[in-house]
Amino acid sequence: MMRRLASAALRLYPKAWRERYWDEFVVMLQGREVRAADVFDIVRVALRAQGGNMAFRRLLGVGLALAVGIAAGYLGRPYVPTSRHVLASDMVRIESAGDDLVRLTVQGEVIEGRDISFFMSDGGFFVALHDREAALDQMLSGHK
Amino acid sequence: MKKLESLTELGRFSEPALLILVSLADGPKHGHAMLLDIEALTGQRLGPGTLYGAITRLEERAWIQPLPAEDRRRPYKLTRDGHRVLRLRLETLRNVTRVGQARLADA
Repeated sequence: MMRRLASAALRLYPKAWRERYWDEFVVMLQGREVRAADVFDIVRVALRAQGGNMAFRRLLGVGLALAVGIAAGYLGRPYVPTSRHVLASDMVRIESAGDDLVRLTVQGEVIEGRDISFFMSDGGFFVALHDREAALDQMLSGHK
Repeated sequence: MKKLESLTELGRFSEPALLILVSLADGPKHGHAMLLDIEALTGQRLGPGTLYGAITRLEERAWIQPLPAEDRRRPYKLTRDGHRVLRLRLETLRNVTRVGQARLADA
């Protein structure tokens, strides 16, 4: 996945750069574990290399505006609790709800999802659901 | 004759460039070998974009030179100017290190 993203990010470089370095860059990536930080690094340097290209800047502006619009639309959807701060004194129950689904009950409030993470926080911990879509579906079906 | 410039002209990009020059000081290497060498040298993982950004700048200044590709991997070697620039930069760093250590010892 990351390797594919890295190869896609290479297309952000100026044409002259790609013609000169593409082959050896791809071969270098093949011999190495590609991480998210590498993809970010490739994009960052590519954008810098494109710095003086006005056509690319305009394209980037349109892309950013679209991304902001999509993000605003997504955030404008009904609020779904996907995270919860838990105090040390709170009653917490964690159980399996089948099909890899985890049900977390905190002071009577139920949160469900797959792949739950816990982070230490002041006076307790913070619970985050990674599976936002599953939580959204769960909530919507529960309110129908 | 072309004026020999300093590595510091690369500003914040000078550190990856310096690491590449050091990596090539003991012989030609291709990109992946440079990354491994720099990682062993500094304990830090240099990003592939950063590596090739620095390679591009060094090649533009003729401080490194590409060699014919071997199995699609292209090795690079230090040029004579690259040697001089590296020697100059290491000399400056040696002075900074010496003064810094002396001041730390006095503190």
